[in-house]
Amino acid sequence: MKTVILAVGLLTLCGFTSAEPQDKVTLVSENLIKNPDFSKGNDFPDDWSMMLTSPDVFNVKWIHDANNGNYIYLESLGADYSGYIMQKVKVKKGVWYRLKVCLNHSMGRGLIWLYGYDGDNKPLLFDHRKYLSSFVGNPLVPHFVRKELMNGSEDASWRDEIFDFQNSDDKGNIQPSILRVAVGIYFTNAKIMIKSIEMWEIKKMGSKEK
Amino acid sequence: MKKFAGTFLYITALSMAIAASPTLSVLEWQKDELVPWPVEYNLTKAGNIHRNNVSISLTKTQVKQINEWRVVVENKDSKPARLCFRLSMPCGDAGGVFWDGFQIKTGVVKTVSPKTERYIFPAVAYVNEGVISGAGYAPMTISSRFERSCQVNAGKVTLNFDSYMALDQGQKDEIYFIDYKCNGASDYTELVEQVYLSYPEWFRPAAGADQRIYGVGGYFFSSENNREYQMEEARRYGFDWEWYYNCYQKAGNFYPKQELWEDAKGYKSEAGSLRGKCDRPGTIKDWRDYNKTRIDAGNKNAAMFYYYLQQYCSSELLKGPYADAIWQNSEGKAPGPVFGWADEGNAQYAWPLHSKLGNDMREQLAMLWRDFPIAGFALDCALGHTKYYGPLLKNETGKAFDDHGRIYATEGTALAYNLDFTRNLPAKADGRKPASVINEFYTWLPMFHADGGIHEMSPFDRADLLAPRRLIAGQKPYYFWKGFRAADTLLKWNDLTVAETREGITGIIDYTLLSSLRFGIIPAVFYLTGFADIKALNPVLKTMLKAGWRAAGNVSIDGRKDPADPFALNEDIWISRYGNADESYIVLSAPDIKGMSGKAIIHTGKFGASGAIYADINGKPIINEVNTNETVINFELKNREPLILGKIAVLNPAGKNNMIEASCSVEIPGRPQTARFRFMHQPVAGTEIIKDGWPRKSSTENEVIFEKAQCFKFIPNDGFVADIVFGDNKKIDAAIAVDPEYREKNPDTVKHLEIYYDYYISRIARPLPRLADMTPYWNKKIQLPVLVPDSKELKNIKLVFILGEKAQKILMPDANYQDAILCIKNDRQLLIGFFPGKNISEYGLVMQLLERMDEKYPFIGGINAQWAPKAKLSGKVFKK
Repeated sequence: MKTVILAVGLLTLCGFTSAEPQDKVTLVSENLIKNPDFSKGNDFPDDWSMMLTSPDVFNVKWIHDANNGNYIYLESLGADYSGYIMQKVKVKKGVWYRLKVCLNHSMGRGLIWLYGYDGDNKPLLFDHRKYLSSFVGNPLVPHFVRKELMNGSEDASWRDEIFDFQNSDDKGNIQPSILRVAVGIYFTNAKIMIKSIEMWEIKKMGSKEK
Repeated sequence: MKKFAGTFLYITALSMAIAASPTLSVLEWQKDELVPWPVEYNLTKAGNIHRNNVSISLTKTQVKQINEWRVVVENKDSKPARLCFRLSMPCGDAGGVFWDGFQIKTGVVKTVSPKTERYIFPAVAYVNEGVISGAGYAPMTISSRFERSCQVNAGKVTLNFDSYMALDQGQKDEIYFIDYKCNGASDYTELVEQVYLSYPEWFRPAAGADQRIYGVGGYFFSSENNREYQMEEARRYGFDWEWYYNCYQKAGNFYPKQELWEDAKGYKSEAGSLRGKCDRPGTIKDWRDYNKTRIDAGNKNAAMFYYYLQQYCSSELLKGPYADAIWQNSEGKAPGPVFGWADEGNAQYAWPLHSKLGNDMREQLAMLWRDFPIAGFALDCALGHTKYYGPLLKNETGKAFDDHGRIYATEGTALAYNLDFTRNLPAKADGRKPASVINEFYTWLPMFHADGGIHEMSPFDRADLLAPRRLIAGQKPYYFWKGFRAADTLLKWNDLTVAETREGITGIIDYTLLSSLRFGIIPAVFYLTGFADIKALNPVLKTMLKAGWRAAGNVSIDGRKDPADPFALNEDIWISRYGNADESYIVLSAPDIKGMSGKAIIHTGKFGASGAIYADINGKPIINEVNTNETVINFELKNREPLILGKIAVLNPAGKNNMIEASCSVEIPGRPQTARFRFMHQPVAGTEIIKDGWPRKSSTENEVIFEKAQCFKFIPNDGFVADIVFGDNKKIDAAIAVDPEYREKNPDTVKHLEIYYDYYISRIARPLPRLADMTPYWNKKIQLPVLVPDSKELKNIKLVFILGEKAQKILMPDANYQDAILCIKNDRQLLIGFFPGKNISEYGLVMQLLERMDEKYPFIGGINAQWAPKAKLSGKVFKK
């Protein structure tokens, strides 16, 4: 138990030090994502799959790099296509979760996408998204449009994107038992590299939830 | 590999000992590597090589400045041959610039071997101290694979261009290499320009192509219930061609076969096309009749390119009659089915060349061409690089092999074959031959065999591909697609002030305009609806596109070193050239709003325009310093406004340092056009300004004025256009007088006038709906009544348009004109008559008047994008 508390404490500390400014949270579970850093697998990372609307317009590589570790390189060559790396995760109803994605986004639009299923894997009306936008290398900047007017980020370094969400529904719909966690490109020419995807059950600081 | 490398170095040393001439070496795949033949051929003359039951014959042809080598290969062995032909060009000292067909690398001091597959022009160049060496394919080559490298050895550079060829037993195939070398080159574009000059037919739409291919394109333009308004909308927008999603799509069946047809399901109406669903039950004959009506209506204004996909086939058909065509990848597997939006079912990749699918497809394309007044075909997904490893390869040429020795052919070889097939279909009665527009090519082969191409993105998406794709497309029309809806998430729309919004949109428009001019890419209709500046650009862009975008700008800026890559995204001055000797345009623009000024040296001698005098197309005077091989212009660019110069005359003899101020008035239909030339100093005796086809109006010692008469006139002048008033938005006091026989023979001429005002009033009230959704909103009460010429009602109508000779004789009996629009104004009435002649038809005159009337009754749609409401621009027109 002490080891667990210590481990959770350490995880919480890591969460605070590495996360974007967010509500303060406590991690109350271990990471729920299998092979979160893409370190295991033969031809493709174990426990992950790709969903591409048109494989021919995507470059997908699993990179093993001495400096950057393992990561997925995802590039879309067409503007009308989406492509994601994804994994299904069992979740509890009503609780809060934190999704942390370590990525490098250097072009176009991305999406962190959570989609819900029931226990029989039937899709439900649960769809939570965090859109990402990059204007790195956008030819409009700086001469045609000042970067201050641009949506998104010009940050092409590795960074953590944090997405806190509650597995609940206030419209009376069924809450999912399974979530499909997907990260990738949303209908633009884009380049995204993903180093890790992790998810924890969390408790928000000040929350009276048990 | 070690054995291979050692032998390769030996051959290289031998090449360099022979010095300047390129060499051809042959490598053969044996076991698991490429092994060079001991034979090497010094490319100075034709000849033959034989080894291992493979015969190679080499023939040289001089094609202008390019050396062309036809390499014919025959495999007489009992097993497949896998060969790599390496053309090696010694280039001299290292440290120069290597262009690999796609990107450049400067200061090359060690070997560069790029492994990119896409967007590559099939040639390479090395430039050092003004000397350019180039090697590659001539455009008639069909090949699935080439590789290239810039090899550096002991400080010396050799360009290598490798062509991979696989031949089955008994097969014959051929490729065409080119090599080129010259002094005085600025950069790699010199090689591409020479390829254009040597093989011009490969870089233009084929002879007989509908010339509207050079214009503004779009899709989902049609409207079944609003055919006459469709005609007017196309006219208003300057819409030239349609990517025509036809009414029946079953992947793999292009002209419906009875055995696949279901009457209960039928075909798609226009509304159904938007949803991808068949919604009109009927027979094949019904489909044919409907299609013909729809294409006929579109064809009045726009060239209709019939949509199809070559390499996708219905999964059902691939289990049945087309089972031979099922695709195989390198693992022998068929890529999984995808649910196609165009076909209500699953489709898969299939081989469309010498297969049952391919044979039937070509037969059906010929039937489509025969039965419908289409301008040609619209090919989607013309990527070109996907590799086929299946059993039908034995029937194909253009094959290659991969790094594991496995033989394949790219889909590009199939696309090229089928594009050529449709090009060679017989001409229609109106003289048109089928052209093809392709969408989103990734490789050179489809574009070399097509007639136009789409950049299916906005100009700010993958801007790094604009130059490479444009170079591959040559002088063929190329289009921006998508429209400004792609900007939905581009700016922080919710957080911007009104001024910031305006600033951002202006920047986006300026970038679109300048990119269009830099690369000769014409924005599709989605860009101009609601954007006045984009609409205003189109006429000049179309003119320049027809003159032909050129790879080599042949313009230097005084005091600046020519850049290694003139098309680099971060260049601070954008220069482009269109046309050559007789018709030449130069465009200069500065992306920085602060602008730039300087002297542009136009190297006219390099493109056959020696002595050229340029003028600003906007009519402002420009001082030219004319020399024999160059014309120098001072320029001042600011506020991201482009300077577009058109060659308007020639100074003969060009001489030296002749300073001439030149201007040419903007062409306004119905008015004469004037070109004025003023010598800034006394010209040398015998020097004259030549302006072909324009009569000289006046001439003094220092000034010459030429004037071109208008091809038609407004009589007494065009001032009456301002007096044209139809009425208000509820009723009109206007009519058309025409005899029934004329009306029957010229229905569109009458219809345009009949609906003009109704279209305008109804559309400005509702600028955003699609045409198809406007049906309930037209107002027939404000359509012009069509009356016979002797109708008594006409006397009491304020505005009367008079069409046809019979009506003119009754209502304008004293008028005797040709090529004229006559207006007779009296206290009560404005009578307008149209008098055709040898220059212009009556229909043409009506179109000219409508265009003038559009200035008083303007409509170019309204902005329709997700971001528009936030910017308070929904339905409005934006002008900078």
